[in-house]
This record gives sequence, C-alpha cells and structure tokens, in this order.
Amino acid sequence: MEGALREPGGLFADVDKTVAVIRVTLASRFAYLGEMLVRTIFLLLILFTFAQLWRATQASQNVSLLTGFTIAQLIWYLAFTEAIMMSAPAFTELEVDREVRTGDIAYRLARPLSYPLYHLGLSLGDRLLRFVLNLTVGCAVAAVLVGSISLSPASVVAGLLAALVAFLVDWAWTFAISLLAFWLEDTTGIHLLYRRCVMLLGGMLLPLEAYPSWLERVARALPFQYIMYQPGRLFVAPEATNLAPVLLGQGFLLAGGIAVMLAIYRLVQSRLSAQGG
Amino acid sequence: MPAAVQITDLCKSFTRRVHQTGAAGKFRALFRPRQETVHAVRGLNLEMQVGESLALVGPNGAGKSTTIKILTGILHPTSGDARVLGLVPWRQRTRLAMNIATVFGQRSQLWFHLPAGETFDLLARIYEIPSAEYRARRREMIRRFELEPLIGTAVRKLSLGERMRCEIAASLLHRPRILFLDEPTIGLDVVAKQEIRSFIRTLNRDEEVTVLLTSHDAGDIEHLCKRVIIINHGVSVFDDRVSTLKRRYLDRKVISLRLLEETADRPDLSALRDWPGVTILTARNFGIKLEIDTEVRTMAEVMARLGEWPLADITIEDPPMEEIISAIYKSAQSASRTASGGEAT
Repeated sequence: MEGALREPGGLFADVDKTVAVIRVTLASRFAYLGEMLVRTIFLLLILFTFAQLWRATQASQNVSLLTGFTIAQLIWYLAFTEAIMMSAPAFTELEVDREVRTGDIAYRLARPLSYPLYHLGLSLGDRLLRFVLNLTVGCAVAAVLVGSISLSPASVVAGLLAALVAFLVDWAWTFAISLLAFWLEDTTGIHLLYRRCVMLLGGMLLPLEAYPSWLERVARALPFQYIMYQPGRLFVAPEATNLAPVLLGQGFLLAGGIAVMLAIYRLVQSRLSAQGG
Repeated sequence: MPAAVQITDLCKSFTRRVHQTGAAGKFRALFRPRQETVHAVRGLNLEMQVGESLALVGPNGAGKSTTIKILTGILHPTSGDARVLGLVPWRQRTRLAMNIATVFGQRSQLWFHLPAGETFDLLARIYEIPSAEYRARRREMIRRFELEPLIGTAVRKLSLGERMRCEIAASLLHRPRILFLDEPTIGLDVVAKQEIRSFIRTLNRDEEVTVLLTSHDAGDIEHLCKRVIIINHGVSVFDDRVSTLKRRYLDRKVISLRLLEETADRPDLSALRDWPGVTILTARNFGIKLEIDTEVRTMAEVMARLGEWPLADITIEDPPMEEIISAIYKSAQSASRTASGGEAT
C-alpha cells in the first residue's frame, strides 16, 4: 500500500464530524422514544400541580397578575424551563465520568476526532430530541390546563435560540465537572449540586421576579439564570426583555465554561499521556 | 521502503501511590504518600516492515497495552523513540489516527441500537473519506466480509461473530496502513474465529495492511502472524518467526497409537515404561498415548521400535502453542525474579 498519508482537515472538518455525531445520536436515541414519552408523564403532573397552586394563590390574593405574570404565562414558562431541565443528558455526564475513571478515554483519543467535540455531539443529539419532545408535550398540557398565551414568532425564536445557547453553556460546565473524575474518582455529587443550583437559583419553577427580593438579588448575580430563567422569560414575555443582553451574558458564560473545560482537559491529557490514566 | 513501525530503546515508567493499611498508615499517607515506580516497558526494540504481520504476546502486565498506547499516540514514552509510518505518535496523534485503525475485542465502536451501516457512515465523516471513495469502499467491505444480510440489522441483534466482522470492516473503511488488533477473537466460537482470521489474513495479503496483534489466543498468533515477539516485564524475551518459535521450543512430541490388539496383551509395554525419554500418558483398550522427549530420544529410534508393533493407526502431534508460550513466560519470570530486586521508591 503506497501513496501519501491521509491528512486531517481543519475547523470545517471538525464541525462536520460533530454534526455527524449529532445526527447519529439523534437516530440512536429514537430507540428510546418510548422511555422518553413515559418520562413526560412527570411533566403533566408537575404542570397540573402548579396550575392548581397558582390558581389558589391568585384567589387568595384576589389579583389578576402574580409578580407581573398571568397564571397562563407562569405555566407556559414552567413548561419551557422543565423542557430544558428534563432534556439534560445525564447519560453524557455519566459517560464522560466513566470514560475518565476507567481509562476508556484513551481509546477515544485514538480516533481523529476531538474528544470534547465528540461529547458535544453526543450531548446535543440527545438533548435536542428530548427538548423537542418535552416542549411539545409541555405546551400541549399547558394549553389544556390554562389555555394558550400570545406567542409571537419572535418570542418563540428568541426563546429557542437562547435555549440552544443554554445547552452549550450547560454542556461546557458539566463536561468540565465530569473531567474532574480524573482526580475525584466520582463526580456524581458535584453534578447533583450543580443541577440543584440550576434548578433553584436558575429559576426553573418560578421566574426570578417571584423570589424574595434578597434571593432574587443573589440569583441575578449568579450565572445559572442564563440556563433557565432568561430563555424561559424570552419565550413567554418577549416584550419585557431583549434577546441581545441575554445572548451576551450567555456568550460570556460559554466562553468561561469552554476556557475552564479546556484547561482541565489539557491537564487530563498531559496526565493521561504521562500516566496512562 | 521505510519501516511501518520502528521502536528504539523504548521505556515507559509509571508512578503509583501505594495504599497504606490501618488508620495510622492512612493518616501518614495524607502527608507522606508512598509511591512506587512501575517499569511497564524497559528498552524495547522493534521494527516492522510494511505488510508484515506480527504478534505481540505476553502475560497480563507484560507491557503490551502500554506499547500499543505509545504506538497510537495516547501515551508519551519515558525515554526512547518510536516512529509509526514515519510519524512520532505522541506528537502527531491526529495525523497518525487518520492512517491507522484499532480493533479492541472487548470495546465496540458500533452504535448498539443502529444498523452497522450507520456507524460506517459516521466513520466515513470522522476519517474524512470523500463520498465516491467511501461508497466504493463500503461496497467492497460488505462484499469482502459478507455483510450484505447484516448491514441493515441493528447491531444489538447480531451475534458476537457477526458484530466482530462489522467491527473490523468498519475499521478498514479509511484504508488504514496499520491495523492494531487487541484480542480480536475473544469470546468467539471456533467457526467465527476461523472466519475472522481468514478475513484478516486476506486483507493483510491483498492490501498489504500491516497487522500488529496482541492476543492470548495461540490460534490467532499461529494463523494470523508470521512473526512473534514475546515480552515479559516490558522486555522482549523472544523475537523471531512463529515457525522458529515452534521448532525451538518443541522438544516434546505426542504420539497416539491405535493397535490391532489390546494394549494389555503387549508384553513390551512395561519395557517401554522404563525407556528413558518416553512417557506413557495413557494406555487403554486398543489405544496408547506416548510423550517423547526429543532431546533424550530421537523420533527415528522411537519409530523403529514402534514399527515392530501391530499398528492400525499412528498420529504425531506438537504440543499446543499455549504450552510453548507458557513455558517461555515461566522461564522469563524465573530469570527476572533472580535478576531483579524491589522497585519501590
């Protein structure tokens, strides 16, 4: 066998490979469609519970708006943020953790595909399908429970775009946490803490306006809002907030997450190449 | 033509923490952890020509996987040099990865819930194979590995042998120059093993793919490789042709005789028992099995004596390859035990 050696392409080739991983992950996850649909039952329960809760609160306070939102907006907000949360691919977190712990990461490195980009492809492929499914079911349930809200195409696009960037931000930070398994053996605890922070301080159940003022100040000072609250708010109340500052905040957070992740990844790589895992 | 693989005085050492027992030991370890150095590879030299098929054999912990990881660019050596296809693996890993393939018998690259064809499509993108070239190569691999009835079936529904055929075909889509095989037939039944070996042999011959195999299966070594390197404790203890290995270490032959009369009727059987260099393994009904130490007794002498017996059938066998390799491991281990002391630092 003769001839020149095959040369790896540049950035465009890397993007193409990542897209190919997303595509094949999507195809593979269709095998779990039944399991994903069963999980949406939880969405139905939580939306029903909160619809009852807000109605009771509204009746007791005798107001039409709760913290500036109608009940319908609050339920649609919850449907959107729950769709983001429930699409979080626990599979990817565990997979990176396992590969780092067992040394299988070494075998992935023997292919001409960046390890972080491979996992980004896995994560996005998994997450996009779950998100679309959860959002569809969530919106349908919200429409039945509280009726429709005025969703403009601009608000839908803004919310979806912010959610997509939120997925990237979330991936960068969770991937960085998973890489810590190289030193900590098991990162499940840190992942749990991170997820709880995203849920509670990110404003998954309620918009931050509904928090006590001191907690709202804390939550607004923390980055978790860019994964939950900001995309959710864009989706239900586009007139109250602009897309640009949200994307700017997310951009900073994404850049920070990627910088931290790459720093840890380089440490893992150098340790791996010296010690073999 | 330059060598496909060239290793010169390759060494790789790891340090690892020694777990101390007891509460006091664990407390002490917080401040003064004890470490030991493990020398996985010590001064390994090796050269492989393009199209050669070589088996790297050794017991667990001998340094095989470490060597493969260095050659694929995953590990940096502590000292020494290695070139694979003229590239320094740990400095040019991605470039090297585009031109080699690895098949690990216990790790699958196929997507479990999808047909193997989907993984083929993904690998075509990962290895940046132009569409027309990929389509032609895919057809060729399907024909060569007889995958037509399997390619559209979800991998989870395939047998292990079928899966391994898909696995190897997938690894070869980008026409790698070197194929690293790690236990490619582990867990397969006899028929599937033969099929896999036959496919790899054909590829090695037709496409001049250089094959570096690590396996504990002596059958893989015998059927796939012309040359074998046995390493133990990171040192090469044998490097020669497989046929030489068999010849050099075959100082025993097993002869199975089928007689025309009951063995109990043979008066010279007890005399054979006292003959130096000959051991009677079994003697029952019409059959006798003898082991001959050819360093003590020549086969000509044995055959001359047995020629007087009323023979119905005779079979002469070499001891299995496993026994030969095991004997080399044991002799190397006892030699290293006497030569080396403790290595804890």
